[in-house]
Amino acid sequence: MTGSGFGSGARRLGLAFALALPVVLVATPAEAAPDPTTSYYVRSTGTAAATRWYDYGCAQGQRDASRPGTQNRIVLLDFGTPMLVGGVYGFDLPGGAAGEFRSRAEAQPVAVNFAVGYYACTGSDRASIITLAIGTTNAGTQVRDNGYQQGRAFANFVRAIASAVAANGVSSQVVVRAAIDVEMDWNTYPDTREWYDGYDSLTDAPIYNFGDAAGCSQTTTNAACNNGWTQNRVWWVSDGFLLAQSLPQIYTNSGSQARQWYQIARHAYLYKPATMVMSGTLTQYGACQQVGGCTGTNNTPAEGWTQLYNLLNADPTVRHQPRWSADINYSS
Amino acid sequence: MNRAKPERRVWWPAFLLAAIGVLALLVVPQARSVDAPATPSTVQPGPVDKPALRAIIEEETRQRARAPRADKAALRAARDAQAAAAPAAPAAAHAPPTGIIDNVQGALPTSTDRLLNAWQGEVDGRLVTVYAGARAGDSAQGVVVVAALERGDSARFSQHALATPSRSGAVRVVAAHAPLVTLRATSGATFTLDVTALRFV
Repeated sequence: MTGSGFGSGARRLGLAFALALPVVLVATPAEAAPDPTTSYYVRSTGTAAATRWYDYGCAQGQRDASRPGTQNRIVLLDFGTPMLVGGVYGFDLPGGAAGEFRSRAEAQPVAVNFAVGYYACTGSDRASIITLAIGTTNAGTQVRDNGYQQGRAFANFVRAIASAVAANGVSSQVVVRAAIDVEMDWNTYPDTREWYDGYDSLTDAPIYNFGDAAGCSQTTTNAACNNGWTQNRVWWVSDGFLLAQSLPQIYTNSGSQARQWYQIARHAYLYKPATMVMSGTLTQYGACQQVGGCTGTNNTPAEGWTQLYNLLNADPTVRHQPRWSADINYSS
Repeated sequence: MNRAKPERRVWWPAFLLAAIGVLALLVVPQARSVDAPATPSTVQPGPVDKPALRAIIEEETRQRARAPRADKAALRAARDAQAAAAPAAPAAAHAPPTGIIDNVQGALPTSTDRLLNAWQGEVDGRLVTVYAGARAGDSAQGVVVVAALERGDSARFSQHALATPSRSGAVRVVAAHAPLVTLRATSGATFTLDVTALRFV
C-alpha cells in the first residue's frame, strides 16, 4: 500500500507540475532585458558640434569595450523630418523650434564623428560592432508631396555617410544603416510608400522602422489603424518590404504599444508566409527626463523590452527574442 | 531564433530567387499585394525560406511602384554618379521661420499630443515656439506645448505642456503679439497664452 500511496502521490505531484509548468513558463521571463544603448534626437550639427558627436561615439565605444565579450548593438541618430529648402535636401531637426533646417552636408559630420569616436574608444576591442542607424521620419509636407525624391535623397545621404565612415577606416566596427520613424498620424500609407519606393530605387541598405502603430488593434489581427493605415500596411513598412527591419516604439507604460506590435507579429504569422522578427525595442525614457517628463509614455528601456518580450514569448507562433534595446535622448 | 535577413545581395542568387518568386506568386496569392484582402490560411503556415518571401515582395514592390522607374542597372549607375558628386551646400544659412507655422508634424517627438500648428518668434532672446492642438485620444481637450530654444552652440531647449482652461476642443494659433499668443478652439472659444509666464491670462 505504501508503494501504491507513493505512486499515487507521485502521480499527483507530476500532475501538479504538469499543470503548473505552463503557468511558470509564461509568467517568468526567460531572459533579462538587454543592456540599452543611448540613441539621439540630433539637436546640433556642423563643425562646432564635431567634438560633441565624437564624444558621444566614444562613450558608446567605451561602454562596449568595458563589457565582457563581443558586443553587437544599435545606436539611432534621428535627424528629423525631411525638408527641401532652396533646392537643398535636408531635415527639420527634432525638438525645439520648428523649421530648424539642416542640409545633408551639414548633417553628415554628426554620424561620421560618432563613428570615428566609437572606433577610437573601443581601444583594443576590435571585434565589437555598432549598427549606426541614420534616422528620419515620414512626417511633413515633403513626404506627402515629394516622397519619392525625398526617399532617394535619404538613400544618398546614408550612402554618403557609409562612404565617409569607410574612408575614415572605421567601417570594420561601424555598420551604417538607414532608419525611419513611420507614424500613422503623420502621413498616409500611399505617401509613405512613395518615400519607400524612392529609397528602394537607389540602395540595397536595410532600413529600420522605429515608428508606432497608432490606432492599431491591441487584441485582433487584420484590422485598421489610424489615418487609413492597416496592420497589413504597418507590417509592410516594418518587415514586408525587402529591406525593412523593425525597432518599434514601446513607450507606453500601459503596455498598449507592446500589444499593438504583438498583434502586428500575429498578423504576419496568420496572413504572411513567414514570421516577423523584431530587431529590438525603442523607448524614450531619457528624452522624457530631459523635457520634464512625459505622461504615460516613459517606459524605461527594460520595461519596454520586457513588455514586448513577454507577449512574444507567451505565444509559440511568434516566439522570438528582440536582440536590442535602445533608448532615445535629445543631444546637446 | 533571429534569422538574419540578407543585407548584401549578389546578382545570381537574386535572379534565382526572383524566378522562385514568380513561381511562388502562383501558389501564394495572399502575398502578392499588401492591400489584398487578407484571409486566414486554412493550413497553419509555418516559417518558410525568408529569401524566397523577400523575392516575392521585391517583385510586388516593382509592380506596385507608382512613380516611373528605370531598370535597376540604370538606377545603380545614376546612384553612383550622384554619390560621387558632393552635395550642394545651402546658398545661405537658413534661419528658422517666424510667425504662424502650419507644418509641425514630427516637430516634437516626445509629445504625444496632436499638434495642428504653431507660432514661433523671439521672446527675451530665446526662440520660442508655441505648438497648439489637442490631447491624443481626447480631442475635446485643447493643449499647447511651449518650447524655448536657447541661442548659441549648446542648442538646449525646454518644453512645457499646458492644457486649455476649458475643454473646448483642439486649438490653433490665430494671432500673436509677443509675449501673448491667441488661440481659437474648434468650439469657437478663444484663449490667450502668456508665453513668458507660461499661463493662460
